[in-house]
Amino acid sequence: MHTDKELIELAGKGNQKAFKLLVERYQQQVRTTVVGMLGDVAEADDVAQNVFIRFYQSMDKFRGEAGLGTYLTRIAINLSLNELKRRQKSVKRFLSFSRPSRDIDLPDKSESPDRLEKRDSINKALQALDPDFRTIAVLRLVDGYSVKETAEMLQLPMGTVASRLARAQRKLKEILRNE
Amino acid sequence: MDREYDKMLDLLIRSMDMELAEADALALEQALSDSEALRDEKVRLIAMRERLAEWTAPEDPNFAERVLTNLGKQVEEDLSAVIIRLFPRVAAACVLILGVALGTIYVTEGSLMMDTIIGVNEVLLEDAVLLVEDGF
Repeated sequence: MHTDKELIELAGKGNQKAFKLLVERYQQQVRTTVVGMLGDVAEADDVAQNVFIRFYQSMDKFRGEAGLGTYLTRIAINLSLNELKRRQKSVKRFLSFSRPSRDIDLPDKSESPDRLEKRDSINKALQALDPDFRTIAVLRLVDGYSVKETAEMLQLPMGTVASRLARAQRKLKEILRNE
Repeated sequence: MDREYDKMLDLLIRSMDMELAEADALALEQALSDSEALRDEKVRLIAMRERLAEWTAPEDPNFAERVLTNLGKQVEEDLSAVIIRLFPRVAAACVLILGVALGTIYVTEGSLMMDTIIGVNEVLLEDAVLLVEDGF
């Protein structure tokens, strides 16, 4: 099996198969981060795809200091926050205009209804958090990065991350208890 | 909510992500042994964190394929954008070169007739026929 570094080198030389392997290797991680940030909507799919397209376009800048998963997660968080800002602007602009949500992901029929329901309730609980708290909850509780890694990724002091994380958990606990 | 309980709950939540100061850790330990509600809260918190850690986006088997398709489109769009962006500069450079060439011809030959421009103004018809017959 090729390492990430080998695949990146091959992809950099125009080998699409190598790039596809990288996408397949990290797609679930990236999609989980983006869906956690934006919800299970069409925009999340666009953003997740953009993460890999951005990475492809700037592959030469990847120095491998952080793992590729961390690097892609960082891009995913930045693009998701941009998308949230864009949403906020359009909500402000069209406050009275109710826009139908573009839910595209059809439920995976192989999943049990119970599992789907659980997935949905977690997603809804995450979406109920403010973006600042959601970002930290997704990175720490869903993606499993440590408080230190989360702080480094978001360029925030560890104390801020810890206190936002505590508040996020209180809120999540409240929402999930009432489900 | 009891302020002391709230403080202990906060410590409990924090203890799951980072090491507490010794005094806080001891206080939490004591509170946990004294309060059943806090112990229940700990169980609920652990369960919630497990659910979150297991949570993933739904599987999407066609995702990688879509990325590659869009990447191809993006490359085409980027190329078109470059051509469109560069077109005015290339066109301006061509006009400039043409202007300089015509200026040079005018200065050296004193005319901008078509024969002068293509360089046959001084070739006699007979010479041209001979040149053609000799195969240049």
